[in-house]
Amino acid sequence: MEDPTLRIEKEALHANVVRVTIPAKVAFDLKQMQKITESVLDQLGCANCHSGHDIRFDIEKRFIVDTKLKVHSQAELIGR
Amino acid sequence: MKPADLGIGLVYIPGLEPLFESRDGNVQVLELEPQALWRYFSRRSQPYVNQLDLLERLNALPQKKIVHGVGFPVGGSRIPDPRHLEPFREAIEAIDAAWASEHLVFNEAQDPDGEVYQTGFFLPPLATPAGVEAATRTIRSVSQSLPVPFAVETPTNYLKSRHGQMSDGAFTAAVVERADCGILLDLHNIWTNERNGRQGVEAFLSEIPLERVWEIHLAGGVKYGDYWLDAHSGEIPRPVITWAHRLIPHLPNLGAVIFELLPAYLPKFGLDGVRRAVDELNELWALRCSPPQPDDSIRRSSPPVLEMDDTASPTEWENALANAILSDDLPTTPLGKQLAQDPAVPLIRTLNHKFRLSAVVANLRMSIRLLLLNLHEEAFDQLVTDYCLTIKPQRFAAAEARNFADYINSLELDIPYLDELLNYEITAIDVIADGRSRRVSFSVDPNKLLDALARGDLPENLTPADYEAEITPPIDKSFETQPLYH
Repeated sequence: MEDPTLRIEKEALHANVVRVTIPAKVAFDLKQMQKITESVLDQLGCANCHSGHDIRFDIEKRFIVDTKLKVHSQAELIGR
Repeated sequence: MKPADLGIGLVYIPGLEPLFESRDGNVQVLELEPQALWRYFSRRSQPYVNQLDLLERLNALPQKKIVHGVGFPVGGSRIPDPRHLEPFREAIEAIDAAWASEHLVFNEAQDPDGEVYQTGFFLPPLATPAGVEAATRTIRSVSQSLPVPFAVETPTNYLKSRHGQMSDGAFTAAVVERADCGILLDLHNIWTNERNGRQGVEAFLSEIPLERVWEIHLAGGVKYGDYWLDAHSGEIPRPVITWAHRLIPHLPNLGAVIFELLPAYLPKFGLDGVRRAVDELNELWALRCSPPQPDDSIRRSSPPVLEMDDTASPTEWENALANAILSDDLPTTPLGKQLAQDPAVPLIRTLNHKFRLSAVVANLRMSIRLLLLNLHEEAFDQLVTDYCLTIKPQRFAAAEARNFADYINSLELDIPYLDELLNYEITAIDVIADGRSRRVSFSVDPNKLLDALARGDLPENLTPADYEAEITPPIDKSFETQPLYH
């Protein structure tokens, strides 16, 4: 996935160092997460003070587990 | 007192801007949770900082405003950090809030060495006369410092009812009468408590002073094992709506009805789901002027006077309950042993872990992905459990993320790029907090590394080289359409 927010400004800083610009928040699998607004407003503050069920970690874990399964499945198909 | 007649509304979360900016007048109230937007600078004498530009933009919206605290609850014996009062007042004044509220729970305890720590989860206070006195003292310490009236929210309590403690309604009634404050009645919480085996909604409502109810919260929840959770996950359960229909004509001083939704559920519930909830709330609000049905009165009852006080003090209760949630040590005190038998304790522990890791994911998403891609699921789960049992929770998500990064670094895991990713994401927290760019080093092209992780792929075949990356602050996309109001 080509991420449009990753603006690359490569320039030779000196002989062996490449300078690039990266955002503080990487846009991630927007389609998968069906995220309406990419915002960081609720990320740093007191968002975990609650008495219910926060699913953000579960969503992330499921995404990676599914990705691993997909890769595993493809590898099996190729191996046949 | 009679609070201002505001109407129905929503808790502000990013993504709801189209509803707040709409000219249709359906949403009349914006409830701000200021602590969710605070920046936290642990080394400053005043560590809590409002985003004043955001408050200005919120204030420009057409809705009436109220403020709801979510980080410094007032139900326990410990007085919340007084440093939070100044920015809390600042937020109230910046948006001209009609009143403010906080939760009738606690989230701080003390270990045997005297160190005060966060519980990372809202926990129910000791419901005894001594608990009433403690909560009253704490409420007054906050309310007397605020420029607006103050209300307390009725909480969820997953624990079993205990012999020697007051009913939920009796405790709430005693506290608000002693503290002379309003009630933010969370009907979903009360219904959740009934579903989980505590006091029924009818009995609860019969015991509280209905004239003190200034505000109602409505929300959705989820089934989780044997429990119903106050998840703020979407659609309001029909029985909760039915209770609101029945109750609202009996509330002479109701000033607002607010729908709550956690940001993580917005993509699934959608703006259309929120609009449907808003329509339901407007129908409920119209009932406020209706006379109660003669055969549908809310029964009034006087809770029995508690003669047998629970032998624990509020402080002992809070420390024992927090320890039961956060430690896997075998309890040594009678109270600790009793609490360990409550099936809600492992439930709360699990939910607490999810909250903490969600706060970490929100700030260290790429590092977490790299860990998940490199470790077996069982190994990762064990790592999370060890972290949660070793390191105490933090009130602010950014601080929780820093602690997690420190913990991972201390393990010296042999995972390529992990240390530089952690360094990037921790540095990015500072960039977001103060808006100033910073530079970090990478041993490969960071854009290729981040691009792979953004796809959920294990980074492979990256060419080593020295990179210096400038981390630039995000562009705030909220309120893009705000000029509609000018």
